[in-house]
Amino acid sequence: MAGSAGWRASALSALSAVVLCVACPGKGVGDALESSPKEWPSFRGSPLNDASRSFRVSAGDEPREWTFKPSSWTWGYRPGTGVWSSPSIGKVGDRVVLFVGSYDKNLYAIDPFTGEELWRYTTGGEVFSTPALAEVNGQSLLFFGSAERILYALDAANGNKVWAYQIVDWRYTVGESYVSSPAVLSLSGRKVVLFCWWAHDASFAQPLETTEALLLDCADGQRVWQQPFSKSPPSSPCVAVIEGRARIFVSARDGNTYCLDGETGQLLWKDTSRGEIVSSPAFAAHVNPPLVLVGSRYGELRALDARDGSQVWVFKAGHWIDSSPGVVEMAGKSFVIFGSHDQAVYCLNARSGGVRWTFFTKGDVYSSPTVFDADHRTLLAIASGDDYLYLLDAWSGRELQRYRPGRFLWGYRVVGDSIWSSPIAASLNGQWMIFAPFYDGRVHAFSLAEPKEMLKSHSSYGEVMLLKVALTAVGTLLVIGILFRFSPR
Amino acid sequence: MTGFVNWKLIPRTLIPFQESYVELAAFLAIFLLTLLCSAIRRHRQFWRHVIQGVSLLLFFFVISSCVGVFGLIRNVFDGASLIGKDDLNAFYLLGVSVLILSVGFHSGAVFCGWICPTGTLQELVSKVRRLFQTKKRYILPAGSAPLAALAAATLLFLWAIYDGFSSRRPFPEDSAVLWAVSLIVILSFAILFPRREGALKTFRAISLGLIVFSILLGISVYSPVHFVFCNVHDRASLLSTLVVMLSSIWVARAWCRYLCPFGYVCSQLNRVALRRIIVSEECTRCGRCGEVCEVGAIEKGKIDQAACSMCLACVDACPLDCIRYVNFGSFSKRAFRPAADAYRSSPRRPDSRDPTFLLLKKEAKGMSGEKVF
Repeated sequence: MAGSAGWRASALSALSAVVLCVACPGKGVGDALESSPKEWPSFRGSPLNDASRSFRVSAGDEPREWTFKPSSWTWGYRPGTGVWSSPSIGKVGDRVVLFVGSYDKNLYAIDPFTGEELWRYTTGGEVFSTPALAEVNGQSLLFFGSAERILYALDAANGNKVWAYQIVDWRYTVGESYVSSPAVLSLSGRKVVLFCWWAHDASFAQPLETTEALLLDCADGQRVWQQPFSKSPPSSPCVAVIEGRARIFVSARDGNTYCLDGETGQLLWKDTSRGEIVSSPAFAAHVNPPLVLVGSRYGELRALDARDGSQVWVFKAGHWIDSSPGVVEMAGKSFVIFGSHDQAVYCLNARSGGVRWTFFTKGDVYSSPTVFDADHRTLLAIASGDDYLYLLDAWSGRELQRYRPGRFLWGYRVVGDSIWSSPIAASLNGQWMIFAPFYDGRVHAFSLAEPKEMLKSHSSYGEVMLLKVALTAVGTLLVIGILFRFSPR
Repeated sequence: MTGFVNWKLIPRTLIPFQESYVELAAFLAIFLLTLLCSAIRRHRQFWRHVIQGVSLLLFFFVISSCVGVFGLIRNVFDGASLIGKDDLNAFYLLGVSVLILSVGFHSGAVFCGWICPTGTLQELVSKVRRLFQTKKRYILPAGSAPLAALAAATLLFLWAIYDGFSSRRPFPEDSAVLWAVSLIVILSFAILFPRREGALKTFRAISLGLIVFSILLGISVYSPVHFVFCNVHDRASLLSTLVVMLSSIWVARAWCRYLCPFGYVCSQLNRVALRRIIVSEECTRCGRCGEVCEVGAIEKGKIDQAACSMCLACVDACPLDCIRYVNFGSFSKRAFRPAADAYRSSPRRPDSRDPTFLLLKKEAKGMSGEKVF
């Protein structure tokens, strides 16, 4: 399969190279947003949110597999909250560092080779926004937001605070804010960082419920512009350059996807979905027209024309889509990969919305995929609610390996009650590693070189279902027996 | 998941976005229509069927979100947990359930008898079955033919599970099938032991307990009528909806009688509702009311309020007009105590058909311990 896929891939890429050179409207899109190994500018490695950044560094020793557990303190958790933010990785000075925010109000800097903690920064609230790493005036800065309504810029080398920006003044009644993952971009020659946040205050005297996009100067934290656009929690923004202008795409729980102008923050278009939106939009540059892909809790993945927000195609999954879609280029074609609460991982053709493959897990697929090129193959890592982390072949959807990080830390989980973090992949000194902060309260680092759990053949689900049916029938009979015994005739 | 047609008419609806909430508006309209038509005494059952038809169309073509019997209970929990945090969604989740319960406080379980499409479909199946029978019973007798048919249908159901589920992976909606299994087991006992039917009705409370328990534990439990109620297209939901519908061949409205948790909640409101069904003591126990009751809630003038679905068929069928649908709450006990005393001392018997006097009689005779209703 891999051989034939490779042949097909090369043939198709040769064919489509010509077409792409002429027709691709997104050509050169990444120029203003391209990042070096010293940067991790956004939630998924690129402001396009396409999750297909292959991070490679050749420094350091050989990495080993590790597990990082910050503390045994787990009582701060309340059902419905997340556990970790998604991680980010980058080169700080000569050192590679993995950054991850946590429910215990800390931001951790971890050595990705050994899993040792390098430093931590304690905030006053849970840190669920993925830290963004950027090099500003020769200094590596780390940007993230905390639920205590403060946005931070830290020196990535030692965790010292460079500046902080308070989005809402503190008062007794103000609630925890919801800060999305920041995105770092270059606008008119200077580096700016974009935050989307939701703040609320349920008091009668000073009611507040607002969702705003905020652009700050990376160097000093000065506000460039601020634009309210909704009243419900936003997703992480996705930034792309269309027709020479930076556009910001962001969804919110109110079911809308907003397109803001990068220079001014002005609302360009708005699109309403049929259900609320939890996942972040992704941008597919190499299709015509360029698409913004949005998954909703109506179970729909909608492809919108990035220029005007009109719907190009729509795909209906069996359940909610909380997983942010990833976009991957294979054989000259763009594919969209995402998971759904119907337990499946889907790969669709970005141009038409046709299904390329479907992979079924045994739990709700809440996590966003990460796509990377390893050993001349495009691979994809995605976590599922069946407590497994799957490694799939992105071309065929075949399962290659699966990892079992651990079980849910607290007794139960409700479908879609939270946004759990997604894995990332990085090549350290030629060896591919997957870093997965998991809901068992630990950050796991898996090596792709080590074969994990051997795949067992699945028993027929029909038989499993018949067993469940038999158990239900027996249970009902028992209850009937009890009722007949104790009820008056 | 695929292969089924999406029949929902309005593409952007039912959400409080863009300042519209079509779902709640539709529910409000159908409830107002129900309250209006339930007050009409002439051809009331005809109007009930009209409303049932309208709400069936509404559920099929307009309503998309989960307002199934389980969804309504789950949404209350989810919505209540969001108050103060995400008011928009809290309103969205709580709206329909609170509306149904509020109407329940006014006129009892009218949702069950007049609106619920699951009930309508079951009623339809049961009516079609009775067309072919000379002796029109709601529960088939324990003869060999009905039992053989039930056994055959059960085997078909098991085969459908094995065949339909072997070629696919699990879906969260699969738990719906297990409710259908329970229903089949209960159904067979209802046919074999018709006298113990009352005990089987306890399952509705157990069912409610299980739903609440599962919500608190965060387990995905899905309604077997998912397929009809909201925009879910999968085999398990289709199969369980079919079982719920076809079970009415053996026992009319079997799902409503034995398992519906939301029906249980609604019918509990019958005891405290403003408008209630009452029976006067002039009742001759002719049994006509029992013949028309789909859910077996009334027998010879004795109403089981906890099973009643407020379809008002008994009120319309009573030849002596002894069963009445009255505004109960407007008579407070304290206000009518002097009048009750007056009634007790009055040598003349007032008109027994006057609901005011029925209440007065209850007030007066209830004090001496005599059973009136």
